[in-house]
Amino acid sequence: MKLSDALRGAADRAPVDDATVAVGAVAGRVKRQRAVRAGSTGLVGAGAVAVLAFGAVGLPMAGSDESDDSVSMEAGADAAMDDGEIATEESLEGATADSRLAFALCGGTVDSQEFGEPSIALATRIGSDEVEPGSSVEVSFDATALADVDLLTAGPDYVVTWDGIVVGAIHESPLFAYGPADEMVEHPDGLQDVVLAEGETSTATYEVDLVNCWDGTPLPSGKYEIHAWQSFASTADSTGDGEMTPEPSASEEVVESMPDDGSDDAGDASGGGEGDGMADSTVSSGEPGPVSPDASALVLEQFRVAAQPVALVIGGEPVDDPFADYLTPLEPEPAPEPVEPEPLPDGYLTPEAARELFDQTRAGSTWSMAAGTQRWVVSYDARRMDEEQQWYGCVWGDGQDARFPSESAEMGLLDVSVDLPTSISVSYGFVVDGNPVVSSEVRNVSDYTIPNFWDSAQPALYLVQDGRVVAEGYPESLDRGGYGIERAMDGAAVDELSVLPWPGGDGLLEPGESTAGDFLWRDVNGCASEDGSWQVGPGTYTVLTMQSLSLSNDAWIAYGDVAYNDVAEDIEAEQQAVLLDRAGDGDDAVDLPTIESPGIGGAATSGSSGSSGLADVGEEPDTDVAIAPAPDGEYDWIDLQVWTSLGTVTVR
Amino acid sequence: MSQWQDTMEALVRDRERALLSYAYLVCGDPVQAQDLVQDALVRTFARERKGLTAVKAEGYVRRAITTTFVDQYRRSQRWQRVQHLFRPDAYAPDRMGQVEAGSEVADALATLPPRVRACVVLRYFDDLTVPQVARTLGIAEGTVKRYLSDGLGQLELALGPLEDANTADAARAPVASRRSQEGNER
Repeated sequence: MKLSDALRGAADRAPVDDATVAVGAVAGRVKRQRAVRAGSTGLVGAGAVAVLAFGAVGLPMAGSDESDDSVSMEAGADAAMDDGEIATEESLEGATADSRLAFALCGGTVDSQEFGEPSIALATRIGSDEVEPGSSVEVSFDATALADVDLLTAGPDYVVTWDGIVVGAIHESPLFAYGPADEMVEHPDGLQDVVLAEGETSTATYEVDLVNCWDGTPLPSGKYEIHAWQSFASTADSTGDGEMTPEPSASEEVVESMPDDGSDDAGDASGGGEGDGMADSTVSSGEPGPVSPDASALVLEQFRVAAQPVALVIGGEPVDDPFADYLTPLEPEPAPEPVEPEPLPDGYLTPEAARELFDQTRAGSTWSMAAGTQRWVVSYDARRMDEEQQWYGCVWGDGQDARFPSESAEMGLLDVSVDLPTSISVSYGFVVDGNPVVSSEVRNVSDYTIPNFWDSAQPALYLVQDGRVVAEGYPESLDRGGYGIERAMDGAAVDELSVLPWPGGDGLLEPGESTAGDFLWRDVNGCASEDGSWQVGPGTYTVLTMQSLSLSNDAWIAYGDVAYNDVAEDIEAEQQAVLLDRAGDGDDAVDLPTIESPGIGGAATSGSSGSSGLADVGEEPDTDVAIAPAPDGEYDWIDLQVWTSLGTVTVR
Repeated sequence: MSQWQDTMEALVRDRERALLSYAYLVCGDPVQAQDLVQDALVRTFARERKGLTAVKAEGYVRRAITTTFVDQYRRSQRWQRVQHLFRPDAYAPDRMGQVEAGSEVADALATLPPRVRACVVLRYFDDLTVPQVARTLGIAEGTVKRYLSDGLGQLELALGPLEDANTADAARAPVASRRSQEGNER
């Protein structure tokens, strides 16, 4: 049997006679996605604030849609099923996290969020004007067509306010949000079609829990308001003829068409809705929503309409200033008094010494990037702030030179070695077929003590082709950020791997000292290419690693011993809390384990005078190493980068 | 009606059965095949592609069917909800009620994991080379070879020796031409 023939026979016999492709539904989804793509272009700028900033948080808490017979309000299940390029679950998680801050925040005020030219009027009704504390209330949102409409919506947004301040029930239903790659995605539940003839009404009803939005406790007795909005969108085909609607194409008009956010404060409309529990809609007089600058694309028109807020009373004895605990700003902690500056210890690498060394070892030619060679670059210099910064890496915009900086030096301060695989397989930016372990070591080969050297065993990898960086990769530390790993002491068993707070360290790399670590190479992020691709194609690339060095005449803790001791106490207290929590108390207490420090850069440190890498819990960090500002009080600093060529790697 | 819509409708009108059959081969379920084709059509036509004819579009759609299927596998959250459909011991009853008794190959394919199945279909149905399969699915060539080896081994257990099994890791496509393949589909 030949498999290829058998497969074709199987395809011929495939039981798909009853399966059909719903061309109409597919066409609708295509139009919607094209509209989203087109709309996303137009939304960049002011529109992004007005539309997307309304957030992507919150699946419907509870609710049921009530529609009269003439109303078609069908859930857009097909959109939710479109798993290919839109509305993936993980992407929406990202969108949710990304936009939550943009919508009404707990403790914030409610601004007018209308824009566009509404063809829908929105009204809010509540089941009861007065309810008991701890209960919920049924809230209905009536969307009444001002003309014949065929629109998309994700449902109403609403909040509960007290004295104009958002205190509860933040519910959001954005039309679109950003996915993990900043692409536009639909609402998690998909969009609903709203097809109404003029004068017809569609109603959505929600059971709103009357709890505060800080910690979920019941809202106290008092007078509240429910504010509601709803966003709608239409595409050209939804006008009925399936043809594109001519629209202005200049992007400037797009920006100008967006409303001025935050103009009206809907919170003062307390009169509406009392008595009959019904509030008429507010109709915005805004300009049309964003349109695509691409005349060939379908047009996405959006508007957002607000309902008059309705009053709601939670019965019982009113409480004075019921949200004082949540709304009172915290008193800022007084800043510690700075101590008198002391000169840096002898032998430390200062910004001035680094400048001199850079000048003495300045390279006279362009870097060849031959394997094993190294160049130092000054990325920032307090003395040269008026000059253009030296930059090398992915270039994200115009006007930056993608070539290695012409001004570099061979300072010879650090010996950097990174053990890379000769080839990797990359798919969608991820290193597949196992994440290679990358061993990195940085050794101080100078006579200087290098301060502020905290994470520099961490390699930052750059793939270079034709002298330009085409991709970046940041291997992941096995120590997950340099935290200590709990280790049993005196034979006491530790039943599971425990990660404990960083026990401190001096951040110094003494002459001859090295820091090393193992890292997982998990991703390769391609720079944006001219054709918009972000993928790294197969080929052989020169690999550079970069460590940065930040030098200043200031200390890493600027206030010297006093503040340093405070930090040490905090670290100790945190460690003790963790350990006591694990160990229990009284007779059940076990010996406290030691904390194994992975050393500088999340890895072991070794060398003639380096730290031991082990610190017992409760041991006072060595405070002698605190570096104070220079005696003259002048703050000086310089940032250096050391680039080391590691040879080549083949991307498959 | 816009041009892309004309193209899509022509494609569906002329090649609906072929696309559904292909999707069925990829996923092993007629209902999901329907969804796959529709999702692939959306993927293909959601962005502007100048000069897209129905013939070219079919190629796009077929690639989109496999990548959508594998993407669904990658996105385990969604996959978790439907994976029982692809396990041989919990194979879902055919809601279309049209499974033929002789579809041994389809049954054997159903025993393969999704990525392996996609590799087998692309290699032996689409006549893609190993590098082409790797690029289509975004995985390494070595991985494709491993999947093909594993997949063919499992298929041979069910179907007996396969004459073209030794071409699994060939860089060139099997002798069978695409033209004959399309002739079979039509």
